[in-house]
Amino acid sequence: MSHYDFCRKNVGRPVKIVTHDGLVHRGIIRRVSPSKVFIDPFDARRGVGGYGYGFFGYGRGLGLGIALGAIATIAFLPFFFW
Amino acid sequence: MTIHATDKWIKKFTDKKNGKSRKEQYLLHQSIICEPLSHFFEDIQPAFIQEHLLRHGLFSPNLNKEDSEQWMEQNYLSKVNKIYQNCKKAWNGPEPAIFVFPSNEEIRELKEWYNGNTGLSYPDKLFLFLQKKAGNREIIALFLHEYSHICRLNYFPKKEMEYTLLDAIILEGIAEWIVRKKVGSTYGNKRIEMISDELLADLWQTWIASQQKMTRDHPKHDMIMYGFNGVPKNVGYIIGYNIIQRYMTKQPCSITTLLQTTNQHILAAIDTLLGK
Repeated sequence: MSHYDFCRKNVGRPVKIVTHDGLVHRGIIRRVSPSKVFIDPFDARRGVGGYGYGFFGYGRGLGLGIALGAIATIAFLPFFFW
Repeated sequence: MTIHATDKWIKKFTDKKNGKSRKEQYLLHQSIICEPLSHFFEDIQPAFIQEHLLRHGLFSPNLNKEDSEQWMEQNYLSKVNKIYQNCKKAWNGPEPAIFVFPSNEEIRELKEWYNGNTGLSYPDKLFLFLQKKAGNREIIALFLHEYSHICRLNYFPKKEMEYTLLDAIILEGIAEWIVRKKVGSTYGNKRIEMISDELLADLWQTWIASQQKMTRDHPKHDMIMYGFNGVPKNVGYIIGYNIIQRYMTKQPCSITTLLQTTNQHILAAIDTLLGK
């Protein structure tokens, strides 16, 4: 399966992406374009925090865009093994 | 006066947004609404504040003039101020910066489960996002919820990112218990309900027991609080409410005492948690 197909099928799931330059990204797949996958990095909310009544996921998705061509490996992060 | 004149910001935004593209409206929302807020967040860019607040229910750049005018007519700022003054006096509470904004009425989940009203609190600031037809009791319920957080966070001060999952569970449990006690059982988050001792023990073991000390910058923290793929919706809130409900039945005390009671003292009184 291509990285594109994998990402399309798994929007909303937590993944670990390693790019060819050796960088490791962990986050939730938000959307996929023909050339990039956008993830919500796990450290993005760090610092803004606060105690919210609810979390609604609305927003433009200032995710981190990773070029599909730069991806070496991509794997799911099972909830209990992060 | 700690309530900020957000009505002026909102008016400025809706006056200026006409005829602008979607992207320009987004940036306008960022500069008029979120930039002034950046003084209250340390080292965080307005774009991240905007994204964060949008996810927690702040009105989107789609807000139109008509809806915002209807919202203004409700005089929410002065209503909130009255509630705030009463609460501050009754609980001898702190003086946070308070920001009241319209909520995002396009979000179904927010409308259906929270009746269009939500909020966000920090040790030094409080946000209320209200729909244009929020009733007085709904505002009181929301304010009590958020302000109780601020009181407790100030009684147990730590760096924000050092607060743990257990802190959050107890914090939310206390807030929802106060709402039901003071405003009525039909107020507050509609997903939060009484559960059996067995289910409470089961949820506690599955989601909290081994992760109590997880700090709030861990990605799983918010997933357990709010729910996620495979994690039941609002499970952290449900567990918290049920713990406080049992604690207050067993050892009744005043709200001000409850706000200052340590997590450990509360947990020690709930033996059903361990399935005993």
